[in-house]
Formats: sequence, structure tokens, C-alpha cells
Amino acid sequence: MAEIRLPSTVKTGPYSPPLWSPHPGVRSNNDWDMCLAEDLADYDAAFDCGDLPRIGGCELPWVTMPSNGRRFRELGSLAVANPANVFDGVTVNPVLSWLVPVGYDGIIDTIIANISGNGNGFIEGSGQIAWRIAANQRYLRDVGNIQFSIGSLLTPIPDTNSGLRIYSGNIITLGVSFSAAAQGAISGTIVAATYGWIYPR
Amino acid sequence: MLNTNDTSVSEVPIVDGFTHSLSTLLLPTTYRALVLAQMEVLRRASNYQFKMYSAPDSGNATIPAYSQNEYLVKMRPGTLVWGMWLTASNTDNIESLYVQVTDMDTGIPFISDYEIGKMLSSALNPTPSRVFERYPFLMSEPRLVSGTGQITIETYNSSSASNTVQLVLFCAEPVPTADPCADPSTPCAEY
Repeated sequence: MAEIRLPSTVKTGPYSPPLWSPHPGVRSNNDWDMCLAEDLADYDAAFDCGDLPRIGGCELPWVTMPSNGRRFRELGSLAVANPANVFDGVTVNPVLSWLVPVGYDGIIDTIIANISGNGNGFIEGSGQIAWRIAANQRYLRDVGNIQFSIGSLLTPIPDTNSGLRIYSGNIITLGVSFSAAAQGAISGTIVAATYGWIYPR
Repeated sequence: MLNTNDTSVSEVPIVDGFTHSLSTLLLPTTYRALVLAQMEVLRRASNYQFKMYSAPDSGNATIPAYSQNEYLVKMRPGTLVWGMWLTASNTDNIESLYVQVTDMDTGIPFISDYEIGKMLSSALNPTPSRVFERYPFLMSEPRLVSGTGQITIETYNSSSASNTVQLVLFCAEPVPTADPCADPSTPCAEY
């Protein structure tokens, strides 16, 4: 084996000897190693050749709706003038809440986060309104702090936020936080919706 | 984990890090079941080395409010994950952290649902009792990682303040054994 010599100026870190040696008796596999290796082989065989496909190995129910899937379209609204609303930038005022049926997982492929009417004082991206979508109080990927309106009931847009996986028994909530500055400055009705499908898990 | 029925019960007792660990030895309800029973085969194996994976890395550990981090760890196939531990700079918000670990090859998550970060951390420790300060959190059975060894760790921060979080996976990694055909003979003296 050719010996590799590094210049003395190269920092190579602490010397770490390999844990195995080609010589018999030094770090050779024992019965227990073979047992674990067998485990791995069985596991691989179960997934590669058996009934349990690896991801990408078959059509995935959260990518393409299977024949036993069911579409859902959950809508909700909230008047900005509702006296129960809190304008502190943190409190989430509920707009929509629904339960993923037990026994089904699903996917949200379209969201609508909007405020109805024109000229209602809402400035996109200003932080006056933040739409937040959560599953069991866990804000879903990239939709925990939406400060721009997305889609409408007339033109729902399956966008880059599509593909939010949800699971059996999850309580999906879509709410809005109003900043203090929004109080009195905006009017109208918050509109929120989640579209997608569920499939037997 | 494995069938050990064909193994003699007179195997010599194992003396290893688990035997001497004061954090796991004193787990009153789980040490015997998890370490002595479930890890028997793993602890007797010769060609496994300890390895910890932390996720996310330091540069991404701070998760903004209402945001999340997804982090992919690549493990050597055959690795067994036997413990987890979560730390957060702001333990006040740790109940708003949600964690899930998923084997991306099979799509099977380690946890049935996104778990509250506090459950995997020392913040679960009641005051003044310190009975839960026995880290890491041991899994009921070491989890085999196969296929390409890709594990994804999702960390969600649902609070209104940012938090710095790291989840550590405690693993036993198989050491590649020497292949006499591929590896030239090397004198022991070099090791």
C-alpha cells in the first residue's frame, strides 16, 4: 500500500485508528454480529422484495389520490370586526377547524388564505394579518406565518405550499393573528380553506 | 429484537458503557427491559461503534417562530438507533416544539405522532425530584436503519419566539469488516 505523506502544515485532526484489522481475531464478526447482519438482510428483503415497498417504490397515496381516497374541501370565515378578536400579533383567532377522520391520513394540496373585498385596508406583507395553519397545534411546514394572501374561493391555487401531510385524528386549525396596528385599519372577512384528500392509512 | 432462544444462558455478563452509566442504570422502570433485554444482542456484538448524530447542525439550530426545520442525516445501513435526546436554549418554549424522526427509505416514523420536545428533554424533569434526569431517552427497542440509511428529523417551533434546538440520535454503527480480497494485508504494528 502506498504511504500517503501529508505536508506538516496540513492539520489532520487527532489520529483515529480503524477499529478493524484484516488479521484474524482482531475485531472480527462474532455470532452476535452475524445475528444483527441477518436482521438487516431480513429487513431489506421484506422491503425490497416483499409487500412493504420503500418510498418511491410504488405509487404513493399522498402524491396521487388512490381510488379509495376521498376529497375534502373545508372552508371557514371570520369577520375582522368580530368583537371576540384579539389584536396583539400573537393570539391566533380561529377561522377554521376540522378533524382528520380517524383511520385516514391525508394531504392538503391547496390552501386559501384571503380577506374578502377590495380596499379594506389590508396591505400585503405588512404583518397586519398572519394566517397560520396547524395540525394538533403544530404549525405545518411553511404555513405557520403567512403574511400574504394566497388564492381565493374563486381561484384556489395549488401552490408550492401544497403537499402538507396530515394524519389520522389530527385537528387541523387555520387561524389568523392580527397585529395591534390592524385594529380599525382593516375591515372585511377573513376567508380560509384547505383542500385535499384523505386515504385509508 | 432478535431471537436468542438458541443461545446459552450462561453467556458471560456484559460489562460495557450501559452497565456503568449512571444515567441509564438508575432508570427504575426501563433499564432492565430496554438495556438488559432488548439490547442484549447489540451489546454482545463486536463490530459496532458508538456514534451520535445531531440535528439540525449548529448553523440551522435556531428555528424562527412559527417555523420549522427539516434535516437529513445519512447513516450507515445497519445502524441501530437506540436513544434520543433533545436540548433547547429556551426551555420555556419547549412545549411548543414538535419532533418527528422518519426513516426515509421506508417512510416509517420512529414516533407515532409528532412528539412534544419536552418529552425527550431534561425539561421533563420534575422539581425537586430528579428521577427523569436519565438521558438519553431510550427507545423500547433499537431501531434498525436499512436501505440508503436516510433519516429525516423534523423540528417544528410553534411558539411565538425563536428557539435553538438540537436533537441527538444515539446510535450503534456497524464497522465495515475487512475484506481480505479488497484490503491488502497490513501488519498489526501499524495499528
